[in-house]
Amino acid sequence: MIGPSRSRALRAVLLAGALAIVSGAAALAGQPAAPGAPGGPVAGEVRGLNGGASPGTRLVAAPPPPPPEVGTSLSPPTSKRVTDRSSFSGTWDRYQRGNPAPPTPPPAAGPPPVKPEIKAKIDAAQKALADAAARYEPIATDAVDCLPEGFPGMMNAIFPIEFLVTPGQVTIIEEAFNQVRRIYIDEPQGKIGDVEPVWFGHSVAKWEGDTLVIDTIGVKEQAKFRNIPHSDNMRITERMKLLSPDFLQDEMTIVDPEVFTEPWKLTFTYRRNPGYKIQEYICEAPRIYRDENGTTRLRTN
Amino acid sequence: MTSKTAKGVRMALVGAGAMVVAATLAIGGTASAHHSFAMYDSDNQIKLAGTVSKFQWTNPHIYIELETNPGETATKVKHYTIECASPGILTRIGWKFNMIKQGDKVQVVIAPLKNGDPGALLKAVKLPDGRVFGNGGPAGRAAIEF
Repeated sequence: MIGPSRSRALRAVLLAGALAIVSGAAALAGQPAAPGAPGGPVAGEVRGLNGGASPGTRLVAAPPPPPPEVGTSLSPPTSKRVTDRSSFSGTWDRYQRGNPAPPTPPPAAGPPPVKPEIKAKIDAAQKALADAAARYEPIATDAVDCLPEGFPGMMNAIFPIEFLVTPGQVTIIEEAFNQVRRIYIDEPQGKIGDVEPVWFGHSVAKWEGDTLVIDTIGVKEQAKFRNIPHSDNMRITERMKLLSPDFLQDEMTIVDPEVFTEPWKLTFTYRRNPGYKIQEYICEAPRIYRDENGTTRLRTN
Repeated sequence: MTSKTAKGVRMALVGAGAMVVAATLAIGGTASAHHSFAMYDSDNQIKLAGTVSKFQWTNPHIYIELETNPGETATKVKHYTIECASPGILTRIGWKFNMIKQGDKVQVVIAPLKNGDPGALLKAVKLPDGRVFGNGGPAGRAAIEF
């Protein structure tokens, strides 16, 4: 770990120049290269430009990116794995019921306030699923094709979930399908229709006191949560905070005027599982497959 | 060895408890992290004894390839592909990647494929050392005792 980390930091220093060395020294001493450093995450507006209608002209007009901030310290990071119970960082299980209970129990999720015509479609799809299951011929879902849930489905955390808070970024990893979501702090959001639709959307956030307020757009249409469709105009706001050292709450508001009659509010609560290490999940050589009729089958030997 | 066995039994019991909770949550077989188990006939479970020809520890599912012992089974099929849950689910109830090996003689309770193909969903497995393991919440409980 120390070798690559030092090498990365050194490369960043050489590229960034003396000015950045001075400005970044105090804030980032002892940390690896910051988000925005060479090789790190790309800023929101750059993503937007790349997805724009006429990228060539806009790229020419775009100002050069600001020099990345880098740290100067070459001392190795703390190597011991510790649990900081004042931070989101760590591994968690989604809390549903049982003891110990969080200070504020998660409210029961109401039905999604979908428009009548959307509800008819969802109900028909649910009935088709149930009918097929009753015939012992379950309809294949995206997971059969090794596709992930995407956002917001991954926040439902059927498997354990890990939060990593680093300078300028919160990263969330759900064990199933190695799902990774990156949230950039204090970066501008792109425009709906101008950002590339992706499985986990484009997330930026600001800290309001101890609450992380996250804005997400650009979720790929195929990434459905609870089989509910969404449009390109979907926007999801989350308010994420610690209820206590061992309980984390994510209050989610999903707005999509083409699907919902009013914002759909959901709350996910997670309980800290400090000893747990997220396992690898590669969807590898599945015997389960989708046949020509879209039915889930097991390939037997 | 005794304490290891006791630990295994405790793990299996914890797993059984978790299965009860998960089974009550599973509506329409959609609680699985990967796919529906509706193609298996969980109402007509059978018990098999056989020799493991392959143990595939992979996501999204683990598989046991089993050569059944003639005369000891409830079916004439000689070879079964038996689907288990995922490494994550099963590690959390005490399974380990090397706890079953090629050549092991095991007993299993399975829900066979409804379409008659030689495949099945595992409900429980009994290892050569006597330890019994369930197959996690979404797969449901064994209806037959070993």
